[in-house]
Amino acid sequence: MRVIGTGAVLAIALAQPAWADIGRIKLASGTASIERDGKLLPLKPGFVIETGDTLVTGARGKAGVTFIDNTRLSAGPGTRMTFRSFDYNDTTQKGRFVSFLRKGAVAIISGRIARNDPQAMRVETPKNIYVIRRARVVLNVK
Amino acid sequence: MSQVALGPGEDGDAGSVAVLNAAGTELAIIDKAGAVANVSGGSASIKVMDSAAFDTKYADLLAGLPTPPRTFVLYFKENSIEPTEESQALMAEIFAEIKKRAGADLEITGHTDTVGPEDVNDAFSLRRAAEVTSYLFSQGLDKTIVRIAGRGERELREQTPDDTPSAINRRVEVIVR
Repeated sequence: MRVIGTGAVLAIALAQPAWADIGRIKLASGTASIERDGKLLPLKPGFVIETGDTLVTGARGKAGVTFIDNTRLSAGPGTRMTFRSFDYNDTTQKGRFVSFLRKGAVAIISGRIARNDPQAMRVETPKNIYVIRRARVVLNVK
Repeated sequence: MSQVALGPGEDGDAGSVAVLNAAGTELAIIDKAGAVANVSGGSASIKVMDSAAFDTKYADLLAGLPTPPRTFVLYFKENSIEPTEESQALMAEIFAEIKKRAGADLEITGHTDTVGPEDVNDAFSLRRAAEVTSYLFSQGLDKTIVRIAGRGERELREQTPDDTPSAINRRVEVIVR
């Protein structure tokens, strides 16, 4: 076994800052923003989503996100969804993902978090909670 | 008032969704492709539409889903962090895939075979991932879009007993999202 090269050490160090990410915007159109610390940040592909962010789309807005556990999400117009908590271990690929869909519509294709623990992916709404177990779903809140 | 609709799964298995009230008590489980639950607080009413209707009914929303992640598998010489020649050639394809995707990000995950103790393999798999990452950085990869992970011997491509050398299991997966 070779001793780890300095290039590899550098690679690990440099890749660290990205580890605050929980996901990235892949598509955005119309009015689509992230609300963070009381500010509305406009979206474009590559925008980094963090825990606590709220995705907000306008009357003609849309946004698509891929999370770091490979969960994929599409938000339709008039949506407000907060990514309340996201814990994920890159080595075990287990974690917990809780979001709150206040209003609007989303399509979700679950990723590793749901695959590796059937209780770990929850979408809360004002009156109910959905536990997503390895599925492709559409959720609507009126 | 909320609603959940379950579509046919990407791998053919619909999976399932549990519907709970706000206190966490289970009201229903839907597990058939095409099932729709209309839910209001303490009650859920379920109907099942034709599973093909799911994709038609929600076409706009489904069209907004990002492209599925694509995985590239790089192989290594035994007991080494040096990629095989075929794997070195694959690096150019990884860059081409990144260019195709708006807002792309990468996960570079190392795996080992079952030779050696688990904790050593965890560290070794991370090293392999880091070596590939440092090579891709030297080729101009954007440093802000990468996560590195080591999975050790948890995810074998070829199932083997413990302490079995396997060229298929010694690998780094580069996942382009």
